[in-house]
Amino acid sequence: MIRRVFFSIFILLNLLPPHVLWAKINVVTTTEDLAAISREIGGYQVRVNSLSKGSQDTHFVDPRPSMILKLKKADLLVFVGAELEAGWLPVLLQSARNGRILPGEAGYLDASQSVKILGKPKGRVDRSMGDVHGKGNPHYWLLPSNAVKIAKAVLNRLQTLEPGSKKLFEANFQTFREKVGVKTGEWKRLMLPLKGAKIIEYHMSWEYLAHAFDLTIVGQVEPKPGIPPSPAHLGRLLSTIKSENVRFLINENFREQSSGKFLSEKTGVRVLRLPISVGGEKGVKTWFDLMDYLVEKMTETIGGQ
Amino acid sequence: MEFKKVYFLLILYLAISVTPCIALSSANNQLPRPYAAGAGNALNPKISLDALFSGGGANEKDKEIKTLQGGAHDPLKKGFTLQNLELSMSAAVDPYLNGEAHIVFQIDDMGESTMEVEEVFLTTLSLPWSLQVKAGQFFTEFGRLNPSHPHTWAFVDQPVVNTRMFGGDGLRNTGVRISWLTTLPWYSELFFGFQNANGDTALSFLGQAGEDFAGRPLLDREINNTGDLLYSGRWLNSFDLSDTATLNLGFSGLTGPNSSGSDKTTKILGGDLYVKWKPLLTQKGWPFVVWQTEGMSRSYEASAYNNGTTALEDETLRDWGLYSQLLWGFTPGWVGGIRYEAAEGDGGNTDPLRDFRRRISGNITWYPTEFSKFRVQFNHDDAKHLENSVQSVWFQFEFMIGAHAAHTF
Repeated sequence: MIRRVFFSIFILLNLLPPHVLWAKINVVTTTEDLAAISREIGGYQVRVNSLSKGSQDTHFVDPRPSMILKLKKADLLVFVGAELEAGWLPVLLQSARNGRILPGEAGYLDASQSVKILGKPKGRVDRSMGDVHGKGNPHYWLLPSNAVKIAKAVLNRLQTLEPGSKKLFEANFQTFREKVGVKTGEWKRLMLPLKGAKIIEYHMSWEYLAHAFDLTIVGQVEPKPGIPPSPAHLGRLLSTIKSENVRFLINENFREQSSGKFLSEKTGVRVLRLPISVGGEKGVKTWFDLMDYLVEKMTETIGGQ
Repeated sequence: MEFKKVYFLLILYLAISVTPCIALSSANNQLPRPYAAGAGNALNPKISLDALFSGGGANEKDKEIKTLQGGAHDPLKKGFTLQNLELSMSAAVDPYLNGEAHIVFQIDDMGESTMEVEEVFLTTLSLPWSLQVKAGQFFTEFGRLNPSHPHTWAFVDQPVVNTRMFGGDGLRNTGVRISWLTTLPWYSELFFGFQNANGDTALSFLGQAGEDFAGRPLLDREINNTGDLLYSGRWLNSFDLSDTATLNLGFSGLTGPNSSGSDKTTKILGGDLYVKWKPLLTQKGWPFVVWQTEGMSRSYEASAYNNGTTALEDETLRDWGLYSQLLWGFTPGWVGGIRYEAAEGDGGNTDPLRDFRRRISGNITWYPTEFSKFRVQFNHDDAKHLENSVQSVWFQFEFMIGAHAAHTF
């Protein structure tokens, strides 16, 4: 009797996927948005770390040596791409001594290759045009369909790195995709009164959010990307705000707020100080939290005008 | 009988568990490559051109200024100087190596254009055991400033201690360097390198035959065996003090032959500290505060020398120096800096390369974007070999075009 029990237990143990007992997949992302989505797909099979914090401007993150240590241990690197991290990721990768995450490997995931990119510049691009992103607007995670595309890309890589858990990852992905569908419907209903509303952004980073909810961007506080506003430019914005009946102004929370204050004092336009990433504000811990927060703040401007 | 069966099944179970995992890890390296690594644009190297100019004046003659501004890329004289025109190229060579080259052009104080090969080397991308090899012509990784390029400096001129220990162009030569990223829980890297010990860019070592050092002529000393190379070691640590503050602490050492005699050695030791504070919410990277300090000391075995008029004994010459600079990015695009320097050598009262020296500098820099800068700097210099202190004002401007790889932290 005991022998049979023993025997059965051993057979059962042999049928279990051995990976369950091994270490989790180490995923390192450059931003907390990608980390949040990776966690949704990987579940308990992954350990996810973001190199930058959600309240940081991803263009200007310092390549601290401690990040090299994190990259050294990574099985999968997921980054935004489209030149967003060009100022700091390549120098880290060169010192990481990790063949698994070099370009061309399964552990190197440029998420920008899997999503819909808006704002691709037509024609010549050079620095006289400011800090232009030559490959298109990289702030693409705010479009719900792109969040699903990012998730799909992460799913593919996780399945390649850990084929034994294919079904588990697939199930997580389907759950995520369904939830995005349901929540997008809710958000669209809430944002319906704002359909077609004209808005102004500080930097060209809200294009995808505007696309998702049919908002029209009529100007930027920066005359060119990365260039601070001059008094003349602020003057032009004042007339734009009045003539186009601009609903609100969006500033990322790390931007200077004084230009927005000035425009608001002169015209009464609402200024929203918003996080552009997961972790950019207290309580914003998942991608859904981020979108909930943005929609909530935008819908607060309904009925105010 | 029962125990043997259990034992056998246990081994069988372990064997079955382990094999797929080994197969998986090797499969990763043999995966087909459907993932395009930025196909198309990956074949051209990153190319950039960085032009660094300065101009200014002082209340001293050009001859004296030259002894005070010892860096080869420092403003050389009253008027304008093209300090540095750096042509940089870098690219992945193949899946194993990265290659880069930096060629520097200058116009000297006679108006002649000169060119120097500053650095050209390969770096491995991933070796086992967290090793990395660098091979070619490169700046020795000693301290924080020596391996860096002049256009990245926070001040217009090279620190006095660097000029005295390594010469105007910094310590650089052809050789090999291996580094190991340790398994300690913080970033801790050990470097070990060996390079040629001769030439203008190895001032404290074999240097250039025919020139002199501390009153003695430098002999023509060949590299006979591995003992005649320049050996360098460094231990660099980096700590995240918080989300907003980082501290780098390094220790470096050098040993190599010098050509004052046939069996003389020079040893240089140094320590460096770098602290940066930058909040999470920044406007294009502003505000920030950086404090950087380096100290070095050298013991130079000098042989006896007698040419009839001068008689010098066999002695070990000791020199030391330090610089400490504080930078404050107080508003987006603007940085204010102050630097204090001191250097001295024993017994070298009037040798401009070894006498007591103290310099205080203050500057303001404006960065319209990260691709250009405009700087004004004021220096107050005291040197034993000069009767009066010297004041000088320098301005500097820089522009960069092309794609330049980011610098290490």
